Amino acid sequence: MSINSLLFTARDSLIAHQMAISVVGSNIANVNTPGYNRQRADLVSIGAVNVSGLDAQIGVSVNQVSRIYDRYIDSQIIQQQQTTAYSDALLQNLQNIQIILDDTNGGGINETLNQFWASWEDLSNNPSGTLERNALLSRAESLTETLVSYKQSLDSVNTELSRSIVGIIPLINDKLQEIADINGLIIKEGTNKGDLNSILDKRTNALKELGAMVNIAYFDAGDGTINVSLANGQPLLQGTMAQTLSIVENNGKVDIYNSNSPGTVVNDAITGGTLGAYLELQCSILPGYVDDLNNMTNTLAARVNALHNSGFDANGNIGLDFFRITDTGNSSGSIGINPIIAADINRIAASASVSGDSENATRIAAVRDEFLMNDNKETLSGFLASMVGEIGRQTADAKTNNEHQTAVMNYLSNQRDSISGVSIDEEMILLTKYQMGYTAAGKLCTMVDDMLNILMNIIR
Amino acid sequence: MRITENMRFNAMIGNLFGNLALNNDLTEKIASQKKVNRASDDPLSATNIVTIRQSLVAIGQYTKNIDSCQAWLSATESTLSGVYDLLETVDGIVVGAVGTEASTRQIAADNIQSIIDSMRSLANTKWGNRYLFSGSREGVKPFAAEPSLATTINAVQAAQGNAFAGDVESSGTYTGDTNKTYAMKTTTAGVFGVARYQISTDGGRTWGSETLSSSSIVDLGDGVSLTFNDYGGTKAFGQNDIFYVNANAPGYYQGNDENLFMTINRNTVFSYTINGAEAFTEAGGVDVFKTLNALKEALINDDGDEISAQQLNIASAKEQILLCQSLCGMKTNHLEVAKNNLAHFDNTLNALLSEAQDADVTELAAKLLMNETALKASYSMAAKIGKSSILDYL
Repeated sequence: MSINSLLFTARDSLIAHQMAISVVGSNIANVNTPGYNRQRADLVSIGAVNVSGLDAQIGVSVNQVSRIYDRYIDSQIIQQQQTTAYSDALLQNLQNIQIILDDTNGGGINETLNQFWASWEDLSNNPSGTLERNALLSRAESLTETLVSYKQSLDSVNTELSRSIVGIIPLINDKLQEIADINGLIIKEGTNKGDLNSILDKRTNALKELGAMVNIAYFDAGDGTINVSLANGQPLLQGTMAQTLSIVENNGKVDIYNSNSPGTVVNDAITGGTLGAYLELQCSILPGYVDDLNNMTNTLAARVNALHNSGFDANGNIGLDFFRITDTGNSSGSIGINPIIAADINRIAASASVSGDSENATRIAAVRDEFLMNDNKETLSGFLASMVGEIGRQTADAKTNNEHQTAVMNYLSNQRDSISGVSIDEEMILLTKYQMGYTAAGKLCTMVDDMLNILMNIIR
Repeated sequence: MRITENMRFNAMIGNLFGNLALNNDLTEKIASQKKVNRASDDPLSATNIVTIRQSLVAIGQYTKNIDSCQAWLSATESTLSGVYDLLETVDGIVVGAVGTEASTRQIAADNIQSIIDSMRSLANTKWGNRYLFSGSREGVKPFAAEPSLATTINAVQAAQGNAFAGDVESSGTYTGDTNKTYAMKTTTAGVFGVARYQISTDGGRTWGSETLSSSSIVDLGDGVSLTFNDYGGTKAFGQNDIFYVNANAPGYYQGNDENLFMTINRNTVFSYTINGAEAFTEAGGVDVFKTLNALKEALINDDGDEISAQQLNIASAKEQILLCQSLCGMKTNHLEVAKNNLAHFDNTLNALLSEAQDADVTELAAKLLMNETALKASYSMAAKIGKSSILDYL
């Protein structure tokens, strides 16, 4: 047994505690770093007791710096991130669509449509009145302008969606590349005692960010790397090999391709994350409203035109088409007044006979109450009201869902924070603890020094 | 459970946002006085609000229509009352003139003539752009100064937008006994032998079967025909070329026996006119103008039998006018009832709209007060959260 070896023990203890204090220091430094997992220096005793040799030398060493986290919660967060981001983007865009279609505060198609019918009534009160004819023409123009502007607003939402999709794809590709790079680093460094902790944190963070953009599946490859794929199993990332997503604009919509299998549109596989919401809006929700609007426009134009054709204008001619749709695929965007009628108000056919009565105007005004939409169950206005109700319901649902998803996300974040987050209180106590250990080890040194002095004095 | 500082801060921020969102929602509702500010606030109410508002606009329009019908009826009523007063004076003139000298009788006859003139101007009264008593015929003075003794067929009218540039004339002897409008419409363009046409005997409301044009004379029915000159086949018809012609029964009346209609409620059209045929012609019982003219002639001729016969007719004419007046009254009453119903419905709908849309400000204000307390508490907590830390004790 040697006194010197006691000094080694003290030295090990000093070093180990200093290491532990620096780990606490890192934790304190990263108290506000998102995604940071708190770390601990795992202290282990080393050495052995040899009673017969009168030697008891047990020292301490830092075995590894471990990252404290719960793999299950992390994977739940990545999953939840896809749903939460999806519902965020969905709600935001539905609110935009709602602003366009909402008639609850007056204005909008419903009001212009009401005014249009009222003008026909006014004309039926005075079929030869220039004032009434002019008023009808300008009301009809404002109706078609409103329809066109609704359509344009919906189109611009679509354009904005395309732009967002175009913007998000490079971000997804960057994230995939980032994870591939981290995979590469892990293969190179191997799994060891905690040197890779910050890299692993970074990878988890990258996965969360990727999940917020697009729904993914991922799994451990066994060698510390992870593989990522789309929901349909198409690989996005294998080891260090990252695929890239690319886009082709197709008829006002965006098709997404994966470099893993060029030629196959993968839109259907993308149902989560921000991108999933954009695709859902662009391919399903928005076209629904555009169809409704076109449907309503077609029905309105067809019915009014048919009646107008059956009447006589102020000159005794058969009524021409009142509305003109130049692009049948885009009726609400291309509806206008027949230019011949717009140029000559006498061509408005208010009469049912050549005598100059006002019956046709009355008949056209009565279209207001005809059940023309939805298999002859709804009036035009009723259909519009249902449309307002539908976007309201969708937005309200999205809002409720968003609140729920946000709550789940908060709960999971709290869970994660509770396990992996840094608590200053805790770190301060640990600091005090390790400081005491350090002081004690120092004390051991001075004591060994004293002991050596005593021995020296004996010799002297 | 470990509680970290971040959890505390996040919970604080989350709760603060929750309170602020509620606060924002409440202040918006109070400021707008509406509980539905956008469709998603309450989708079902939003649908109702839009529908109710549409019904309210329709009710407003129906009420406006009723007002204009009532104005028309009141004009008709006062005109008829003027007519009645004129007829009242006729008796006095006749009684004073029977059996007197020729010159006195001539004065009486002149008086009758001036009554006839006043009455014609009453019968030709215009309301807005339309004659009160011309039926559905527009732009035709309903009562002519001189009666036609036989049926007449007016000149044919070609619609302004017709493609046919040839000549057309109406001809024939009308065999009907009411005033009617005959029309012809080409359904297929082309020259004679190619063009096809349809005929209407009610001014274009309904059309007969399609016929191939075979000769330049088109028979419109009841003795009315059109003769076309296409200059040797050089002038072709277009599609939907319209030719129409008025055919009249004998007498003074140039209008028709149709009425004008107005929508006064959902799917309810109301005939608001008294046409000249029922008020002034034999269709209503007595031809007023014929009677007056006959009376005038009888006075000049001092024909006692004829005078007393026509006096009976005058009495019938007065009844006829009274009947039309009371018809006006009935129609006005009908409209009044309809209007009251609409007003009642309007009130009900407004109440429903208010229920669906308007905010209960008292309740909201109470909620806002509670929310403000919570908000203040949140702020005060937020300020305190960093103050308790182990750092203060080390």
